[in-house]
Amino acid sequence: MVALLLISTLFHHCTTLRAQQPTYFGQTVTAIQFTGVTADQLVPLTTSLVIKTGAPLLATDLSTSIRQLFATGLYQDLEALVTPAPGGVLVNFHGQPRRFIGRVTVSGIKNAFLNDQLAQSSGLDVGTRFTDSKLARAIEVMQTQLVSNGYHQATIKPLVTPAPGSSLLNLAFDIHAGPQARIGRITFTGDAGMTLEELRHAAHLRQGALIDHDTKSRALASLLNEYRKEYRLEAEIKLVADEYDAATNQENLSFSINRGPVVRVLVNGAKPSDMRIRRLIPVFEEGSVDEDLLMEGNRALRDYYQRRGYFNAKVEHKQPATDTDPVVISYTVHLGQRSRVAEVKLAGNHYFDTETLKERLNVHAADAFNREGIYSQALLNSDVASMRALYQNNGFSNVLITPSTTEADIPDYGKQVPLKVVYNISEGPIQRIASVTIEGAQQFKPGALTEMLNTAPGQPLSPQNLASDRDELISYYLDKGFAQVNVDVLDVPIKPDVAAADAKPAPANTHQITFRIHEGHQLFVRNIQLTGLHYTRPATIARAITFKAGDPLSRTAMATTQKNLYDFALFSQVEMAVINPTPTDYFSNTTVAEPDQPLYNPAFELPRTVLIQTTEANRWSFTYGLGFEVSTGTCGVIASSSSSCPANGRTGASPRVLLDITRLNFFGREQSVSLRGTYGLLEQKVNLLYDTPRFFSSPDFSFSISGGYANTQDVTTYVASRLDAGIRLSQRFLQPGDLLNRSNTFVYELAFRREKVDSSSIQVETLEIPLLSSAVRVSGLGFSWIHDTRDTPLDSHRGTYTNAQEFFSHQYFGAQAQFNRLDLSNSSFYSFDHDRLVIARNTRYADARSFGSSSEQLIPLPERLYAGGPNSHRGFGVNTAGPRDPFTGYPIGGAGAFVNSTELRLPPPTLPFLSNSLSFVLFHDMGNVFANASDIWQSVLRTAQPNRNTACRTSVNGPFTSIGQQGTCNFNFFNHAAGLGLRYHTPVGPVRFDLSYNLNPPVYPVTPQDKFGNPSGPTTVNQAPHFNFFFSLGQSF
Amino acid sequence: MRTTAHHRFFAHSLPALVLAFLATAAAHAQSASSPEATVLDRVLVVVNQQPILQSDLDRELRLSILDPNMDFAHRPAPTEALDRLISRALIKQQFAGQPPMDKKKLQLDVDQRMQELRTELPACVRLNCKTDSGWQSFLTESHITTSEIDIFIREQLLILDFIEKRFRPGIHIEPEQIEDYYKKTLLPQYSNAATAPTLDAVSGRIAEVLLEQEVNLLLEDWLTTLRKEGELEFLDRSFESSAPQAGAK
Repeated sequence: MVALLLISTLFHHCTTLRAQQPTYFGQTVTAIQFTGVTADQLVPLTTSLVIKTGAPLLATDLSTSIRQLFATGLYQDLEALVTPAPGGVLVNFHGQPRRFIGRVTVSGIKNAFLNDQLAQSSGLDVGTRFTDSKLARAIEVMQTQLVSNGYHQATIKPLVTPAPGSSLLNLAFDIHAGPQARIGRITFTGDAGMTLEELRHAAHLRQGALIDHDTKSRALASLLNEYRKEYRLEAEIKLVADEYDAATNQENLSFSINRGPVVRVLVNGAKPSDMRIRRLIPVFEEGSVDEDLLMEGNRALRDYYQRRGYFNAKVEHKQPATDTDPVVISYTVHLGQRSRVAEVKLAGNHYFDTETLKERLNVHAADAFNREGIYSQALLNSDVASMRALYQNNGFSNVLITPSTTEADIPDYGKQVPLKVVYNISEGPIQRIASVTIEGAQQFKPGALTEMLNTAPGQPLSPQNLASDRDELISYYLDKGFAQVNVDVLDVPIKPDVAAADAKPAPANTHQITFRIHEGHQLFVRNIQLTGLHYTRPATIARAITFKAGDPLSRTAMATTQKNLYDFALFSQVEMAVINPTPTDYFSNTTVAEPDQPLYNPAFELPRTVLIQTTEANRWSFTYGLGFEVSTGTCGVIASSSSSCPANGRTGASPRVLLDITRLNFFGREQSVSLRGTYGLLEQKVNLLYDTPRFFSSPDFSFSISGGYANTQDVTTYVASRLDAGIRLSQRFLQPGDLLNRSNTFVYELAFRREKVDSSSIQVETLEIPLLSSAVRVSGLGFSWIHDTRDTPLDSHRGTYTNAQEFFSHQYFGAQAQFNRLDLSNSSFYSFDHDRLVIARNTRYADARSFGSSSEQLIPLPERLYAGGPNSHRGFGVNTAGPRDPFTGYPIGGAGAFVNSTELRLPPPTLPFLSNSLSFVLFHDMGNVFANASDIWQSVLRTAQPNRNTACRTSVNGPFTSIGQQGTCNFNFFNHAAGLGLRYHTPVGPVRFDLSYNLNPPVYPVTPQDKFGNPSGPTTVNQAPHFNFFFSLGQSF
Repeated sequence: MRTTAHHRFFAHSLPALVLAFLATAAAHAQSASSPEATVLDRVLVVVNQQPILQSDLDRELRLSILDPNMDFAHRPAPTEALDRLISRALIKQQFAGQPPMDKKKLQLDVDQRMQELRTELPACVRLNCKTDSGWQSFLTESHITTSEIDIFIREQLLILDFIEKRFRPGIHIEPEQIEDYYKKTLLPQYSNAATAPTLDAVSGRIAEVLLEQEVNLLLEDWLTTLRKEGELEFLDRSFESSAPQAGAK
């Protein structure tokens, strides 16, 4: 008992001791600590806190410091702890760090698009603060979206997982969607003018159909459309109730419908089609009738008829009575006399010459393509605005442009009234810049900023330049981490006066320009956090990251990094985010004397962590396809009637199967391996390709190794099988400071091919078959140079395209056929008449020279030069130009080729239905393929086949050249073909129809032979066809 | 026998007791030489990223003595005081964009209000705050400083000015409303209608009262909206139970 009393007293005594709390305020702060959120995360704020080591601890300082720290956005909670220490007190700011949102994934719904949509709509932005309320709100939003997609019974299970080694939380939402609701009962009130069944049909609300996100909006739009077909433009349709029946999993919809009156639009004084009226009068598209829309209809009708030559057309409408059914809107068009724009003139222009201004005009005088000219009030106004903008951007702030349209004094002009359009220009004095000043720049020298400006003293005052310079300054600052920079441009006209007797008066019409910069805070990168890499090596993508810790936080650098990472083709998604992006700009402090004056928040200067969140793409991709291939035959053209048509000469069709298996991210690097194959009865190919787009991490070099087998018929004469392998290195010049500019590409190649022509398919004289059908190895070095300065490859208007290919097959590389082949091609494009007309030219010169022993000098059939077809000489079928076999008449290729194609590409006329989608092309192709390259130049001026009526009438063997046995028929002349092409322009390029007429097609003999090579029938003389027709995609060159 | 058992008890347990005593004393001696950390201040609640601290709440409780309805023995509950702080924070966050109060007028109003406090506040009247010594006694007893009172009054006036500028211009009191108030609210308070003041005499004051009522209604709705749309985070959950109050001082 005594012991117990003793112990309790002790504790009581101890408790009494503990109950005495010392006063800490006023004592010296000996040290400041940071726990939870450590000091290194708070640098440099730790040195700018109000509380200081060595100073007395004050309550106001303590509370202000807490506010400063909390304003960084890094704390979930925060308290200031004080511990007695020798000489004073130790202050510890302790708080749990905030967590930020990392990866957000949604799974569980079969519709992958909906999964992504839910993740996007959750409002959980990467890098922003995570709170339970945000999570709850996200679930609520996703639930609402699921319900709108018909999933009323969906459950959402969130899983929050901390990302190791970071302040991030990964959020995974597992959704069990449940059954999708279906359309149930439909009811409606009001005047619908249709039965319930008709309404269901019109609104696409079939009983029992699945409900998705668009069901109801589609129903409303469909019903509106239905009423518009009846010209009920003022129909009102509302979905008033949408009830979900859990028992049947159906949604019962209720509509309120008022179909409104029929609206008729009558046009008097002209006869536009119904479709035209619907297009011009906006009441149809807007689905309502009001005065603004009716006035817009006035303008549209006026402009339409003005464009058709009724330049004085006027349109008015009668306000419709709204309480009648139908409501009749009556437009009256006063066409006036049909006119033609005879001339368009400019008067009063001195600073800009007439040609410069005319380039900007939409109003044109009549010409061959527009018989009335182009004129309308809208175009006139547009021309005035365009010229005014040009003048104002060159210092003429007070320019006045007044157009006038009068009848031209041109006798005997015809039935139409000739009009003269004159733009009267009063330029006014030019305004110039007297001085340019930059204010507010503290981080950078004003001189350095001035250098980047286009605006300079003495220049004309240009609002466009001022805006552009402002944007330039803002971009510069943004790039340096000043996320809140703003620039005001002040333009002060200088008043010319005399300040003092000896002062120079300021020149008239001059302006003082000031760029006033509000810099804001500069943010820096604390560190970079890269997540999502599983297979990809970090070193592979390290060079894609264009900024590092300590750099200014630049959005441009972040965007460039994102683009670089996407360019690897290794990621399906790359998200860039700043963790804790925006703490409060200012914070309020109730301890200061002026509580309405917020304090500057130094937390704004805290460096930020940049998060790069990647999602690796599937490493395996499988592509499969089914197609159809057709091969047109040549039997009717080449084979004589007495011989059977060989398989490769017949028209053929076959299904085709395509399979492609690609493995990306090979060894964790930006490399891929693909196996591709196509199989059809006419053609079979398989190819294995290893590709690395950045060889040795250089964006200028790409490297590939390939090998494969192909069985194809590129020339009607034979079917060839080819086993090939190659190593290819491409060099581009993308880096600044490279030797050449980026329009140049070099390709270096080591190629190996084993080619065999199928002896049963080859169409040459019998004695040549064994020689030409034996397998041949071709291997050697290749080099290509591509120089491309075209504006657009698909439909060029200017620039050039040059392609030079050199291939050298030599026994050193294991070749059995030794030859050197050079193939040069150059295209050029010139446009004129305001880019409307284009003259395009393509010239090809090719030369193959063999060497070595006699057996090595025969150039295999697949390696010879060919021409003819839609992308070559259109006077011939595909690859049918040049020498032919003396007995079978099939093309056998050549050792020299020259083709020149010239096209005049006309502007598209405005046609009914097709609008401006169709254009025409006139072309002329000339050239041929020759047995020897040396035959080219002597044949340039030769338009007639030399021995057309003699040697070409018999099948007699002639010289043996590098392309095998020739006949005595001479093909050394230039074929000329002219033709007309149609181009139907689509968003992906033109669809092409070409019809050509060969002016001087060659003749050649055809003599059937037996298996011993003896003639087995009479010789017939055939001629290549005059007409050739081609259907293809894209321009011919 | 009993003596032997008793002796055995002390013989066996006394060393243990002594050891326990020594251990306890040692433990306490250690804790006396390594003192525990004391929380001096902390964040209680966050209103749209702006923290409200424990020290803010303590000051609010101390300054509640300036409420005429309070005295030294009766103070508001901490949850009530915190609620007022939250409301004031929400209002002050809306200050941006509003024209500021004239500084000279503000200072004059602060001085006048300070004078009114010293002469009219019940707690101050008792201590005779008109005199400097009385005023010092009041400050000492209520643990507040003149500077704190100055800031408090200043903040009150700024908020009142903001409310006036924001809500008053949109309110218009109709003569029918004044008459209605006179008949239904004022007159019933007089047992003898003959002694009641005329409508003309009090219409101005009634208009003021009605205006204040309208402003309060609008203010309440507005504050409710601010709370609903804003982010309110209670770091000390014990305060989370405070119901949203629109009353602000």
